[in-house]
Amino acid sequence: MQIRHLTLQGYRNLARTELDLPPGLVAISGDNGQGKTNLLEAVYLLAGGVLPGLRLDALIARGGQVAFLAADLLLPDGLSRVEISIAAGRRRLSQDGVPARRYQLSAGGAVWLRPDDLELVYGAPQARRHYLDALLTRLSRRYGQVLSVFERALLQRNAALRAGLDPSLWEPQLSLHGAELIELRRRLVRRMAELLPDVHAELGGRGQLAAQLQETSDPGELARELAARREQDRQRGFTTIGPQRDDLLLSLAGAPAQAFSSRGEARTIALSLRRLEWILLSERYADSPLLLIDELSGELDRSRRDRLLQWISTTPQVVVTDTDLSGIAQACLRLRVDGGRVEVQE
Amino acid sequence: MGTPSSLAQLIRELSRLPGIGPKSAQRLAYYLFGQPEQEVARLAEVLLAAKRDLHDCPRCFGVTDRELCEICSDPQRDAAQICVVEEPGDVLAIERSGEYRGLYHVLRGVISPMRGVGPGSLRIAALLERVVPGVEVILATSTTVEGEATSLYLQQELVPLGARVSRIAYGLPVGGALEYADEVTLGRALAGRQVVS
Repeated sequence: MQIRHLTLQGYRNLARTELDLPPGLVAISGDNGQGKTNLLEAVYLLAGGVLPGLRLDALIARGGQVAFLAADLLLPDGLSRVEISIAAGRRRLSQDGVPARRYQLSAGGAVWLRPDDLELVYGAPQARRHYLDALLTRLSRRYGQVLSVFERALLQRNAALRAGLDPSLWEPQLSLHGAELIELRRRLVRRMAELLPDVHAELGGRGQLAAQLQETSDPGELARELAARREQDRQRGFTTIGPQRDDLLLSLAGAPAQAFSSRGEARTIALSLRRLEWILLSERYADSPLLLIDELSGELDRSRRDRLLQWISTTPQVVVTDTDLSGIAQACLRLRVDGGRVEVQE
Repeated sequence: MGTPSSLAQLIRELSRLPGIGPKSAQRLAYYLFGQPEQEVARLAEVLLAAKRDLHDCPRCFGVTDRELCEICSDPQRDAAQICVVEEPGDVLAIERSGEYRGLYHVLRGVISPMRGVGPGSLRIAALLERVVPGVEVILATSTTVEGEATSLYLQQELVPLGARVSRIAYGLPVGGALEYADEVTLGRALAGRQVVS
């Protein structure tokens, strides 16, 4: 996927923007806090990217009521016009003038490398669950749908626990959909476990990188275990087992990466997870995803530099940001973001 | 140019209606403004009259302008079937199908702890009073998370009373192509398939 034209109105801190984007490398520079990351985020969302936990009202410019994003995307079968409008806590998508669901936009999609990817290694389990959920939502239409029904049932059971209402009414739906989420995650993680060691080694990582799920319940036992935990869950005020509590365990040379990896090792692990995302999306949609790299210099230390540059040079379109990108000679277009204004530089 | 305050107020009031966003409210407000005065007065009359004359049917909790609603008081309807729905609008939807000749019971909502709605806030006690052994209760709450949980609660309450309880089938919309069905609907439709030979 590539993005050919971008329109933004009322989006975060960015001024009204119309941009034509060429294939190859697009370099966005600017001081911190000017809106570079917001620009990248807009491209990511338009390319069908999924950001779990994103608050929609945060996307609307301060004092505004509507945010509008649009792009002409180059898909394997030609140009496609996508539009996202956000108002009153709701997001509406359309593709070529027809209302669409999120997953229909995601063919090829985009992969976004960002500084806080270190959270995938050092952060709470939620960061790794979000990684799995976002990737599975883009790989499997069914996963995204089942996940949203599951999350709704989970919110209701938790509210019932806190309000002293009967939590059991929500358990059949939780166990039915939860079991399916667990099975789909297992399938993905098996594939990850096959690919990760090589991906990691190719990015210069040392020691075998392994991934496995740490589950709080077996899918076949979920209904029984939810029932057995009602009293305990009532005291804690939330549902303590199920896929919403599971974790993806990463280990490097047999040791848990969260506790034992150095910062440099963690960077390479996080980059490996993003590379894996890129490979799986390429396979699924027979199309190279758009590659977005926030704060390029953070990724470019000596050990990973050559591999990352090779990844960039073999991707049809790449958008990178940093405070200073004058050293990147390959750029086909240079943009500068200053106080929310996006300007083309000669 | 600012919006005149009475127009802004009209837009605000209209946008409080369910399903009406700010843009639709604005379109409606300008439409009403463009109508002759007697047309607007007639609309206001109809609104007030509806509010004055309509009330809940004391038996099924549908909406009626009679003492007992048209369906509850119709001797031709099959009293051995009670179809349970969430809202009065659902009665109209099922009536339009022309396939159902039994009675209704409108819950006036669904169980939703997130909104502070427990079974006690719904018209469930009145439903249980209507059920006598041999009556079939058809659970036609929607297939949302809340509709399913409400249906489960009703099953638990109704079965001990000796009622026959059924749940409307999950399936594909008629006239819709298979490839456009959402994944969960398709899965349910497969699970609930019917043997033809």
